[in-house]
Amino acid sequence: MIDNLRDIVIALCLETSEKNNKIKPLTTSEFYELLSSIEVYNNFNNSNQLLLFEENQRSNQNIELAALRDIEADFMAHDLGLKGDLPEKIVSLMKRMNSLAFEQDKLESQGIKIGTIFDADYPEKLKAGLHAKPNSLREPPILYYCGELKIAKSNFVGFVGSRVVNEGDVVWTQRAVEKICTEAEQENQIFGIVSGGAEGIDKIAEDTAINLAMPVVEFSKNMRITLKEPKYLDAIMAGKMLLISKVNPLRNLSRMEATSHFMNRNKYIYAASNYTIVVKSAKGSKSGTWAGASEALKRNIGKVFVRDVDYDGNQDLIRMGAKPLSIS
Amino acid sequence: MSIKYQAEQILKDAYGLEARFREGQLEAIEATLNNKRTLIVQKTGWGKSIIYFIATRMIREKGGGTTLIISPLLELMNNQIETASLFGLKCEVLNSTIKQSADRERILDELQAGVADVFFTTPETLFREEVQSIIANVNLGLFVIDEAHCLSDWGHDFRREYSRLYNIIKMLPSSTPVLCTTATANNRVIEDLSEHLGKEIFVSRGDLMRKSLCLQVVLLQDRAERYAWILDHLNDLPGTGIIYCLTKRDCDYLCNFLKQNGVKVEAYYSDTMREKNGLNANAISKFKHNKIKAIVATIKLGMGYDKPDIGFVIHYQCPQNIVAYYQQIGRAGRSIDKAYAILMTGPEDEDILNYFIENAFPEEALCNKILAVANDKSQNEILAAINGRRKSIIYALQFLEFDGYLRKSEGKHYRVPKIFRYDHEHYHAITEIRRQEMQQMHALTETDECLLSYTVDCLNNPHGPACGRCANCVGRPLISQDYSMESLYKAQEYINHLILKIEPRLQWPITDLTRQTRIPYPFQPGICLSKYGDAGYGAMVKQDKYRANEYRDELLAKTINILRSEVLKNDIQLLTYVPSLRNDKVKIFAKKLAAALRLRFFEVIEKSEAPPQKSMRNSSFQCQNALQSFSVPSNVSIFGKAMLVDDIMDSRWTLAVCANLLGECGCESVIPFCLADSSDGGLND
Repeated sequence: MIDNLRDIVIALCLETSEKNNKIKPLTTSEFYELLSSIEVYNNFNNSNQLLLFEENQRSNQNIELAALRDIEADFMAHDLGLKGDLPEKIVSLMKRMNSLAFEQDKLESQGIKIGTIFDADYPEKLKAGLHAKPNSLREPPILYYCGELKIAKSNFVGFVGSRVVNEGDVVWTQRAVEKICTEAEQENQIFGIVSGGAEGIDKIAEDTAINLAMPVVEFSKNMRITLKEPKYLDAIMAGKMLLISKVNPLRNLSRMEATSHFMNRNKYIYAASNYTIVVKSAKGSKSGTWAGASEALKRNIGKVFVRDVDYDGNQDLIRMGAKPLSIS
Repeated sequence: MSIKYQAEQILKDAYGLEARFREGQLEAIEATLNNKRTLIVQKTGWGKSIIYFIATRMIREKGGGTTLIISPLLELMNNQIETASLFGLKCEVLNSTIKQSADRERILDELQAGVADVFFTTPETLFREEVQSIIANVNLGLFVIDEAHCLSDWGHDFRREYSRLYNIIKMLPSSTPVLCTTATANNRVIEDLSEHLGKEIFVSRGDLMRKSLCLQVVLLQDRAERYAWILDHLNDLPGTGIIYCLTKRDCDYLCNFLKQNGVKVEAYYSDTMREKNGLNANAISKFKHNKIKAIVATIKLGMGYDKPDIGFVIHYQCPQNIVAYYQQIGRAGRSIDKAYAILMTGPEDEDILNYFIENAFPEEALCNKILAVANDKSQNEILAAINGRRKSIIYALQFLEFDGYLRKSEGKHYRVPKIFRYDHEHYHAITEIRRQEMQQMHALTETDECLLSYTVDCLNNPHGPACGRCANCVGRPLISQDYSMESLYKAQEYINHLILKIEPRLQWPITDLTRQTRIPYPFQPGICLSKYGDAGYGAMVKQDKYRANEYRDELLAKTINILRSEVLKNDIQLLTYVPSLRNDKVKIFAKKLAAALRLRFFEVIEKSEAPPQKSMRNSSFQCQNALQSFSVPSNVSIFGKAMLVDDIMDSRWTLAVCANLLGECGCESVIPFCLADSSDGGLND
């Protein structure tokens, strides 16, 4: 049976919003393991067709991801070399393919759509940013989003920073966003901003950009909360805002899942923007801003700028190689 | 092994070696198994279930998943379990009739374990949290949608909860087989279904003529005449049957009339209280076991209700369109050779049907108002914010929710980021078509053609020979059109004695002055003489309201007649009325009434200048307006029980507010009386 690739990725990787989910979806790395084992198999197969033909009738044909519903667990274990319980897991995940329409409907009834790496409008910037050497991270096989994915094609400046802000931080952030807006206009370009949608710097940058009608991409901390605010709903409907989440926004996350989800967003912000500005950071790994920025620096995800101000974290990041930034 | 060979083997295993497929059945099985989207339009009894049961067997034998069958019909499910077992299939049914949570859990567990071959459910149950929370664990092999015409808003029986399945189909992988079945779809509905099901749809369509049906039109205008005819001829009709009415009220009236005259009948229509008290279940059970001659029902006794020996269907009022008509008469004569379908019409039909047609879509302005205020608000908060009719607002909310503009979470509504588009063209086209369909129905009552041919022609059935059995083919009435004067007299008497009950209001709505708390002094159940505008007293009230200076003596005499026993029974001593600033008609009427009933007439309620109550469209606004319009002077004390008189009631908020004021003055209890009820209660199934 030949299926649509998009449906297959969804069957393998969609995690439903329900607690009593019997089967865990593939992790990003398990998914890519499957892809590359198919690729390896086909390459090997093509170079050794004659030899294998005698051993195994099936082996003279290439394997297609689109035909995954017909591939048995045994074959995945022996011929594709997938380890442990991964083959069984894939088989059971494929069995739910027809019933996932309900979860997709549930998401869509809240305005949330699913994008897969096989979709034409999957954000290229995000892919490229994550792929950059030496980190070579892989992009999530599926994304949950609200709004139009094509927004992510513009130029973007990321904004990250503390949730706790003072008057000076607010003014500085607003001015930075305004400056990006005017400079882009002067050069006849469109620049938007990317943020993590958290309180503090994230929201100030977002709200300022929305008022200036700039495109906004939010790697949402909790999409459900953003979607309750009329101003964001309006921005989404005006085609000016895009919310993205790697985890199913309708799921209630455990504390561990939440922590890792919150941290992961940093990577995507850095990867999806032309450059990212750290507005305000405390020092040390307890600070999400600091941890995210230092990871980006270390792994070469995007370009990191830091507001040149007398905060411990900011100065520390400059010492680590982030570019200091002042605005007049 | 070919599909054909396998399918034939399965058929023979189930029904014996002689069994053969009917025309079209094998093709439909093949189409289903080749993962096509398949639509079957065949009359009841053709054997649609054989298609999905055999397809299921073959899918299961290849290790495929469970077949999900979605049907709006509870009755049908139980019938089908037997058929499924013929094919060696294990069936699970989950619907609202299964109450025990342990049973429900077991069924859902078996579904997840893949033990069930077939899973029957209703759309309502399917979208319930308990099913949705586990459905992703289920291996589904085949999707079956029974009564698929309910999916299409072009259809005569569109159901919003059903239309949600369109979204599910849209999101299904294109390789997933989907089978839709219906007995009643015309070209327009088939086109709409095809469009939503995908391009490569296979359609199986057969002849819709039914050999056992004998059609006749009985044209009697007046309500009393139709009552008399039914009373006289019910026993001329064979076996048991259904009498269809358009409204709940008509069901009750007709049913009670027949009961009073010794005919065994029961009413059946949607009503929460009737469901709760088991009245509907009781009616169905008596009908099923032939303990009553007829069941008097709205279209709630709908699709797929399967009693094989129904001998007749009478339409007391004209159905909305031919498709509905065809389906309703199709209830009769399934397992018997001859059954009658009698069509009557009344002058009221057009108003009722127009009401349904005109209210099919919420107004655009109302939708926009709701979208502007609805975010983060409960239904009652929205009602308090918009001066619109409660029913219209609730209907618009459902409409907006189903179309994906609003969503509900923990009792509150939230806006979904989807740009609102009011599809004028589409709604207009549907409204126009519904009007045409009404005309088609009307034309049926006047045609000289074969009545059955005319009917199935309207369903785009290939034109065939005349039936040879209907009144037009035979050339004379099958059942006499006459009725006796005696029965007519009984009917007229009965209709003139109909009175309505006024149900108390018990709780305040949300207004600027009230929260949702109990009303301290609610009125007692009261009496209303007529339905505003209805033939008889209702028409008199309507005439006198705007033309005369006073309500006529005939109304007064009738009122005295009705209330005399009530006054004694409830030990009423006082009488007052709801004052008006426009005229004294109610005051004059109340004064005369008090004198005749020997009640002490008193005036205590004061009315101040306010917008007319008529312009207030829902409880929140009506109640607030009434609260602001009426008052009593301080230091008034009232002792005893009082009758509260008004001419026309609608929302009952004026009565509730005035009764509460009287209660605050010490009045022991208040029983309201009104000449006419102008609310639209009962105007639905």
